[in-house]
Amino acid sequence: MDMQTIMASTVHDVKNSLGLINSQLNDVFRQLQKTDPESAQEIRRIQLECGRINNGMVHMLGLYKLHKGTFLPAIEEVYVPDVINDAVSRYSELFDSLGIALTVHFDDEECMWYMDANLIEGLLGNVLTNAIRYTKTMLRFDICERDGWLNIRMTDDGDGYPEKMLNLLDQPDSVCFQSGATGLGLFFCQKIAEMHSNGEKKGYIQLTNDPRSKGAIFDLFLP
Amino acid sequence: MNAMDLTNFKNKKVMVVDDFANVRRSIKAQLIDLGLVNVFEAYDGESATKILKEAKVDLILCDYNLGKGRDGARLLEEWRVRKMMQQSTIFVLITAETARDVVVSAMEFEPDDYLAKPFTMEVLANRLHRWFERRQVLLPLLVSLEKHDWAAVADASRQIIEEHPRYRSIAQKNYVEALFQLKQFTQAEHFLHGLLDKRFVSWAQTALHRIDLIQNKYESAETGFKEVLRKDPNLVEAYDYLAHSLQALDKEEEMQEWLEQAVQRAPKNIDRQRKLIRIAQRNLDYRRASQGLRDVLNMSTGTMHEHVGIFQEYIKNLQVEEQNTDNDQRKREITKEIASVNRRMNERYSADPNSRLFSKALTIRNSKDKLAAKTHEAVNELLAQTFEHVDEVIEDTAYFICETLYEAERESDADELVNKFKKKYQDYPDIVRRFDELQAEPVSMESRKQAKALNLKGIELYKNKNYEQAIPYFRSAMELSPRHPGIILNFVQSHMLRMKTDGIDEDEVNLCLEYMSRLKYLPEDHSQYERFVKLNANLKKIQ
Repeated sequence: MDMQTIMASTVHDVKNSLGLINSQLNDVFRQLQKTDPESAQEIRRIQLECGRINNGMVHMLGLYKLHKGTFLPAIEEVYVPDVINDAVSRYSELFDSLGIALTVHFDDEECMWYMDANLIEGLLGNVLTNAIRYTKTMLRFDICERDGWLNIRMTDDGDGYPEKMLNLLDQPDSVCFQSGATGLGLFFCQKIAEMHSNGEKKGYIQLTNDPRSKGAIFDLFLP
Repeated sequence: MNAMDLTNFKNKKVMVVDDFANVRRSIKAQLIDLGLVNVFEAYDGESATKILKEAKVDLILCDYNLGKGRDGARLLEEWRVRKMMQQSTIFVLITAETARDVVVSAMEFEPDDYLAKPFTMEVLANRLHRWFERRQVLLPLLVSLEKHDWAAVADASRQIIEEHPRYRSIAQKNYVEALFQLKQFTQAEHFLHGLLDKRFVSWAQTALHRIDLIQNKYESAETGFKEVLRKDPNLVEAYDYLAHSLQALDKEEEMQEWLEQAVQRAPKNIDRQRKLIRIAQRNLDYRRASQGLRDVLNMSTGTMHEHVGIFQEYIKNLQVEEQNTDNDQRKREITKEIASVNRRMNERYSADPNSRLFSKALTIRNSKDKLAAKTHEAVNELLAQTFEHVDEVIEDTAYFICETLYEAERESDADELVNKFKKKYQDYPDIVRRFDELQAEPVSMESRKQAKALNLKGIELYKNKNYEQAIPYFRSAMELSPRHPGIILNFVQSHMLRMKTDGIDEDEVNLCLEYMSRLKYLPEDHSQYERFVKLNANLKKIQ
């Protein structure tokens, strides 16, 4: 058996177990919701961590496939609101229960674009699970078309990205395991963005802090 | 519209298929919380098929992994092929992967959507809206598609492109397919250029080169498909078209390499696996063919693809591989494997004449002395029983038996049987061609290949009017493949032309007539028949 098969089956098994845990947690949540809402809230937190483990597994397999050159997107023209809604609706219950206001704004409600919808949904979900940790009261999506690029922007009202993170993307391929946060998730996001190309143009991500509110801004640009 | 408001859909019938009871219950609870009232549960292929037969299900949520037996993708395939699922039924495959896995997805029948687990109630509510709305818009297109009413497919697609741009991606593909079927290539080309002017879209670029393929411009098709695959190596259908171009260009070894790549990407597509197996056999790569046949045999167990013919093909290939390998360890492995597969076949298909007749032929083939009286008796028995079961005998068994008869030097019996099967399969030109090839060259693939090469050399010399030098090549080719019409006719024609300049030689004429008599089996609709009749008449004239 080759390494990829071993990793794929391990990830598959772990994800299956996570799926089972998650559906059982859903049952417990339902039972607790009325009698003990506080514990029910705890369950949601546990589910969020399950989601993180899940993301970690996906990254690991994805990066391995990337390394081997067997990770390739299936790019098609898709209805952008579907992709955003899919990413958001996985977490909206959690946002509600944590009192975080999540809003989505489209320049063009009927926007269509070329992408691997599953990969982009995963990328956004990944960024969302991180934002949940750092934002205070709100999270806002802005989607617009700009000079032949699709821009998906996510803004929060936390304390912004630390300096280290802001510089992380300027140093290509420098996943820094010493700096505490590995940035592996971000590195993976960057790679997924890059896989989206149109002619000479390649997708990319960008991290900035809002000069006024100091909140973090995550930008994804797809050609 | 509120995503959680599903009142419009509350009477829709939904079936949840998963082998884990608690997962099933959890999804069912979510659906019921969302207000749906008709939710059915199934735990495997059997129980799901039963529900599908009894209730008009609108939506199927099926897990990919169903434990033992068929997986979700194979169930979808089976229901679509057997027309057990109406076009209005939505099929969603639930997977553990976040990215839709090409290994799963690249099958002939794509599900309407993939849903990665775990998912929240809101995800489900969102998707339910999307699935039902999408189906409503696409239904006229899908119904026309099922009826192969291409004009209606084109109309429905155009309407969707104009009125529901969010579904235009699927409509565009079907529009182009419909134009192809209607042979409106100029229009298709125009439409595709319109799309490609905006940006590179791999399926559209592929479709454009398919026009090259249809118009027999194989070189430009080859270049085109390779360029598409360089940019999008995941587009498995492009490998199929590239393989088609390469075959037309006689680049069969390269064809195998490309098909190999497609199979690695989408190993579950059995039709493509079989294409690879066949081309590996033509390239005398029997080891690869054995591996492919073992994969197909294992993959098809418990599915609609399971078939006695696969066992036979595998055994036959193992035999040829055994004859062609010098590796003693592999030889031993093969002997064991043949015995085990033969046993499995006879257990699985104990009442089927195909497994019985095949095993009988296998024994004859394995007998040391093919011309012994005992073997002769066994051949007679096989022949009689085959005639008795012609209607039930499948292509593979038939081919194997005919091959066995030629090998036992029973040409006229073999010809009679071949003709019988050709008649039985007259509506299947591919099968008839296989029997034609066997009849013309009842020899090993290797001999066929060598004979072909010698024949080509002879033709080259013949074209340059070097008849004297061409003749030995045709003669050697005939020694390897004694009944091939092309080779025999080339041999005779070269003699005739030589005699034109060097004068008639009676021995030579008689020799030619003798070779010509080998072609008595040639049917009137054979491409070489006319040439045969003409040459035969000319020979008789000068005799």
